[in-house]
Amino acid sequence: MEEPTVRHHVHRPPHGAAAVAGPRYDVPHGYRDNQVTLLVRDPQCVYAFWDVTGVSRTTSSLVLRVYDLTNRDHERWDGARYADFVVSGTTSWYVHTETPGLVLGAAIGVRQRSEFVPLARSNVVATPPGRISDETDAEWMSVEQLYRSLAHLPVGSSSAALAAPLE
Amino acid sequence: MIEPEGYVAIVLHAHLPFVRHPEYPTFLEEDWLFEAITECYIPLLTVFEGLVRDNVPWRLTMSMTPTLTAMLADPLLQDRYVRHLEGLIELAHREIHRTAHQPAFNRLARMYLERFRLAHRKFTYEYERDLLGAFRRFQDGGQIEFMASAASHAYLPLLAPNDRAIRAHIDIGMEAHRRVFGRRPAGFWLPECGYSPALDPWLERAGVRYFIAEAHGLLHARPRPSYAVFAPVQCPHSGIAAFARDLETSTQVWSATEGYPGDFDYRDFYRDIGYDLEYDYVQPWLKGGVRSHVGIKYYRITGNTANKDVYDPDRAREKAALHAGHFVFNREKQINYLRAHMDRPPIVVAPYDAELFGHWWYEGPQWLDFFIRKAAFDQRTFRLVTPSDYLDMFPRNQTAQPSMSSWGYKGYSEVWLNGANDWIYRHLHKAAERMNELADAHPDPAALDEATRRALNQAARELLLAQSSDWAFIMKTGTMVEYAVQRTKDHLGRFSRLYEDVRRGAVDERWLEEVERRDNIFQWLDYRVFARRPTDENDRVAISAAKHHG
Repeated sequence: MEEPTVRHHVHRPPHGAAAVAGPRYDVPHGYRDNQVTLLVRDPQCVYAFWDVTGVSRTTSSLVLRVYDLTNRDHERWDGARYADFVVSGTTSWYVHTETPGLVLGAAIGVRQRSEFVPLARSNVVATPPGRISDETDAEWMSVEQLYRSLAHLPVGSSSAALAAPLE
Repeated sequence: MIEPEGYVAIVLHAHLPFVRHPEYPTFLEEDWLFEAITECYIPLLTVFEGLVRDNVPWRLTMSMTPTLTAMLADPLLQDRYVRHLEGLIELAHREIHRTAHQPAFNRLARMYLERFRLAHRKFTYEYERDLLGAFRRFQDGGQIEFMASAASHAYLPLLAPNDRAIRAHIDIGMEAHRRVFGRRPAGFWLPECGYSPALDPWLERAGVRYFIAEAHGLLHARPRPSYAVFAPVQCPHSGIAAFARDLETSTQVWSATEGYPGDFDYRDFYRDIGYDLEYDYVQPWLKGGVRSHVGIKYYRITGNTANKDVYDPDRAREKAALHAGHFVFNREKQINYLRAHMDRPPIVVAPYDAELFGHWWYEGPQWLDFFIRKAAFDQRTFRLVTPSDYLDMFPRNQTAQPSMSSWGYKGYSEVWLNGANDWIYRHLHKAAERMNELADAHPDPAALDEATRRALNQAARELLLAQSSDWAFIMKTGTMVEYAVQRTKDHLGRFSRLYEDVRRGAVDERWLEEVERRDNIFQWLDYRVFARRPTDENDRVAISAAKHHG
């Protein structure tokens, strides 16, 4: 069936994009920095990107250490649970977590002998809960029927989601 | 007046990315704006004017993004639009001649001629090119409540952890709104409904009263909202009200399979003479000689077939009326059901992209017209309101922390953060950091020479334009990718050059002038919107509390 469409520029007919006059810019490979940043993608995934200097890109010992800071002081990373990812040769990583609703931080570093030497520490992020809260409010009793009536509707059933089958 | 059982808020979100290329005589992507003016904005204004003329009581909420309002106010684009329209009028004349012996087509060619002439007459003489003024009349008349939106349609959750970038997009959006609409807005449209708790302190500081989240933003709030998505909640730290989008109303209009716009009687968007007719015939109307939509379409959707029937506007109009009646009936049913389970009247919030109405769904403005009239005269179950109206009636709401969410595919940030576009973030974040650094290094603009001051303001513009979420969106969806990639690189490249030039104290004024001429959005912008403020330290504490609340 021919679908009516959803987002203004999703279904533009493909054609060669016009060239832009003037110099064409490009982006650098990196910024000669030591830094790592976390961005939340969804309840079970955060994206980490980093820049490191003085470490060969191909070194086999580049490690991204992701800390679980849920229910702790977010400034105190020592003693927090963590997972290591060997990320040699890359500058970004999608970190998938089994559990949603976590508070996470990450460090980029190298492993020297069995020791992890951090080069930079990231911002702290919180992943969304991804489900209906068990917490109820004594003052505002939840109307269960309303939730039941919504049960058949998928989360994120949104404009772009509805466009997706058309792609 | 008898109190209704509940309320419905229709929200139209109008947005187009900033596309303006004075360096070319014509530019294909500028057609996005021209098509939207002819097919959406003028038809919507015409509907609104009819409602006022006929004394129909109505309330509607709209947002028009700062990039769109900047383009609508731009004299170069206004000139180009008039020329574009004159071209279409000429094409319609040719079509009338060409179809002289095909009555069904000829009738449609005449319809298009009439439409284009009407658009031309209204745009040039009635509105005197000032579409923003035309929309503003409905604000001043008390029918439309306009919401502000982020400066350049940035997807705000992915600006974190750079709080100053978030703050700048919100503050500039509020200022742009004030300049266009002359008022402080109550509502703030979050681009793509992209919300995260980290936005709260900045929305609060900007004086925002409410925003609209995707349904699960509220369904997953903590604690669980009593009324699910049918009443707003108040964010714990900021007290800002969060309304949620109702999924049922969305699906009825948006859904490709179940939604109204897919009806077989409606006009088929894809069968356009820009593709269907001989190349030599349509070539003068194709920008850059590339086949594309020109806006004359003769077929109805017909069904799952390549053999399309000719479009019949009367039949389509009947269908739009039928669908409007169906929508009213379903809202009555929905609200009666909700009212039976709630101890206060529910609100059903139904936001849509404004460009759906008329562009993708040709009959959309007619449908809206019928819906508003039927809602006003044919039923008493619900009343049309804006979110502010609802908050005035029900100022006390449950406190709950909404969840991060968006209306993008899968409901979070994946559309704007995936393998097709994730490379942009390291550069966008670096540029945002550097903008903060520039602003901090030059706290007193009076102490700067003019070129440096201009370079700093232009750097801020380039950063904002690079941060438009439209580029990441286009990269993901796979059409026009080259253009989106180049726009990202160009704005980042211009930003980097300005950054280096300012740091070296060597601004190239001739080049700067050229860049200012091209990317002329927010001419009033002051780069200090990115500067550290004395209150930042206190903010940090509040933000940290909000952020780690999921």
